[in-house]
Amino acid sequence: MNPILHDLHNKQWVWTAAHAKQQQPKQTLATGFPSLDNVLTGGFPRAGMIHLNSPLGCGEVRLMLSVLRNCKQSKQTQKLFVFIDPPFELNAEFLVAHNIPLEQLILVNTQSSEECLWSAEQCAKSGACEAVFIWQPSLKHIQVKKLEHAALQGECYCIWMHNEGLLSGQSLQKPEKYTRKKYVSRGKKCQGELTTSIDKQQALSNLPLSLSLSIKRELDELNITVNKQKIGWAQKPINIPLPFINRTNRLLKRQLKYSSNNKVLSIKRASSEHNR
Amino acid sequence: MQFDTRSLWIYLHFNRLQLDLIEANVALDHVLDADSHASTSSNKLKGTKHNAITQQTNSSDNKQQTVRVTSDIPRAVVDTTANKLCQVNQVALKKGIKLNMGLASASLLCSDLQLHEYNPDIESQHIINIADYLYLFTSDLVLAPPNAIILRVQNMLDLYGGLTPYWLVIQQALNKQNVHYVAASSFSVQAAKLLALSNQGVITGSRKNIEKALQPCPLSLTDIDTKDIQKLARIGVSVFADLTTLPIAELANRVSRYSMQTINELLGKQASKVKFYQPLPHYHDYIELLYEISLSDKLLPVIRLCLNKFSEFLLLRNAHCLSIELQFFQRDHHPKTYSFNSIRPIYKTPDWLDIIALKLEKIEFESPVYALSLTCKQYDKAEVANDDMFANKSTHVAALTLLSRLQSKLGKNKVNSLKFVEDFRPGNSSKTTSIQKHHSATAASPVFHDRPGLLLNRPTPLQLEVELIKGPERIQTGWWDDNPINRDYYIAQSSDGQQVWIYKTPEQNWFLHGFFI
Repeated sequence: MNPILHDLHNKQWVWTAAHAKQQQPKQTLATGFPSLDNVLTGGFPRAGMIHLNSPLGCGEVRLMLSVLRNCKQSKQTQKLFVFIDPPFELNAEFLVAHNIPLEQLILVNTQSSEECLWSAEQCAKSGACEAVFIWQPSLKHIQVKKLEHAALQGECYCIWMHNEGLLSGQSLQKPEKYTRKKYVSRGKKCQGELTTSIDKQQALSNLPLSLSLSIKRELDELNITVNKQKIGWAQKPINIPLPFINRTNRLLKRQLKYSSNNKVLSIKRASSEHNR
Repeated sequence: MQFDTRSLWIYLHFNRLQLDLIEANVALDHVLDADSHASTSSNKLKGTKHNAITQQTNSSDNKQQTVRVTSDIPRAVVDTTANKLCQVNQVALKKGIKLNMGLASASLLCSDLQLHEYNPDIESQHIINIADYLYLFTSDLVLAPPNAIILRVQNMLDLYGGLTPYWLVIQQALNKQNVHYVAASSFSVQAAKLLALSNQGVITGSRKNIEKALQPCPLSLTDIDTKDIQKLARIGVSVFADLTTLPIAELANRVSRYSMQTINELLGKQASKVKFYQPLPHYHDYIELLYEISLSDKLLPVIRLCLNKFSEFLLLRNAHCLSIELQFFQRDHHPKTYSFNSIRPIYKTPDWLDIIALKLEKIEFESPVYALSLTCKQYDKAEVANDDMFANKSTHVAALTLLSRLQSKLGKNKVNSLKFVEDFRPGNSSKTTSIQKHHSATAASPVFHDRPGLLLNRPTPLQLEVELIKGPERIQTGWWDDNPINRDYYIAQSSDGQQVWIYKTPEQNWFLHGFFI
């Protein structure tokens, strides 16, 4: 065998198809979306670290919570939901509306990412938690491995909300389009960015996660790509309905243009409203 | 309180208490060294004032020496006021050193004699610890500081079924304390004391045997005034036997009232006045370290010892507690006090150590620590839970343990729970509260509007290109306090697919307030 491959095999970093039969009777958790279950060969794993790569605010938490609700119904537990360092203030009303009892909710605020990861690990392995939500811009291999082990030990989900670029706060200051234009104007830098993003992708796919999903909004549907799952073949992206109550097609559409001097310039009425 | 002269007393005299304590500490330290493999080169033996003779042993030199420290070193405790040795260990006795020997002759006889200054306070403190332990087996205890405890046996005889079984229990308890003692029983406190001090002590309930043992005891060991003892010696009364030959009236003419009272008590004609010991309602323990420690992680083994004692204390009382206080005494600075809290009532050492270790990481001492104390102000009786054994029990305990861990590491205000408050103003509807053990039922019932999951602490001017989905929802309220709002809220979708919550003020300014997640 190739020495590198042999080495990787010894570290158990290579999954071979021969394992498939042995590991088959793994329990999965149905997500409630048949198409998603199909892609995930049955559903979410029963525990482990789940990576959700998405822009902030496209329904990623709602999707997770709706899956967790299925899990709760099956177990009827009093386990805790822990939110560690959410990027903004959590809204209690939203959580109650999504059937999360507030007495089972713990909000942890930490000073540094080390403390955040420490807390996440403690929560995950305690066995007292249903799910641990963390928001982190990037995690190292060893950190992910620790959390994955902790989550498996404590039989809970450790959910890594990975909102690229949107957590830095910079994006709130500068409109997205503006930065993009800047990149185009400087061709070299754009290329640099591209290669690093490929590196990032590769680094992400190497992480020992139980499940990694990329979520993107496409009009009124949520486009989900499975980047990585423990057992199963690579699948094409699938679309599920957007987990929001209010969607674009039902209600009035307005085009709002906005400039940086804090004043509204024009509000264009979309044709759909006329039609109604 | 006064008692009749018929009840039986046992006098426990701890004749080398300070030496026992020092040797126990040295032995413990040896165990700790072996445990932690810590390099103790920085640690200095806490020397007494007699550095001239005290050898400073560095336990890091080699293992042999450490072993030597624990067992083979001749040790003595010296009474500096009288310049005499008052407590001597076995090794020193073998070398020819005797009690009440002067310092000079002792150092001539044995050059490597370890000397410690006699401190009655240490002994007085420790007999309280012993009394606390004995209190579990016997009810009426009298402290006789610095080094004696008197037990009232009479009312325990029925419970234990006689003196022999009772004494067996007490002996076992005392053996656990690792102290040397001399015990004597008698029908008066003074007589028991005399017997114990003159090493004639026997544990017996028969008056005849006691009388017989008392006969040769010298009166100089009793509480009688030294002046009166001289007066009595002049008329030929020097031992107990001589007392009984003279009529009481003859004696009363010669000695003071106080001495006469003691004589009467000795003879069993008058009851002695004693005050029984009541254990304190809270737990307090003080440990003086043999070496000064400046690194906080090196303190952990010592804290573990403290906690072991404490957990034994709680276990015997079927109790547990929520909070303890540790005080660290620093060499050149004021003592530092830290309190450690647990959400779940616990008593076990590992549980406490877990919490303490997390907090101790962050503690830095300005100067080396030479002693520490553990205080528990309140402990509660452990209640037997009548809950179902299997239903959610383990998760509940795990959850409380987890919360204790998080709070001790991150700080109490960093770990919170959320509460829903009935307020139409979006920023006010959630409130972070500290975690309570029993949640009151959420009074407010939400209306379940479509609300964002994340709210900005302070709304920022809108700088995204957005498309409105729903709105407006006018919120104009809060006139009763100083934060009235008047906003038209819209749900909107940004060009990147983010669902956001924005509002417009009456001045037509747009703000971003939340994200639908």
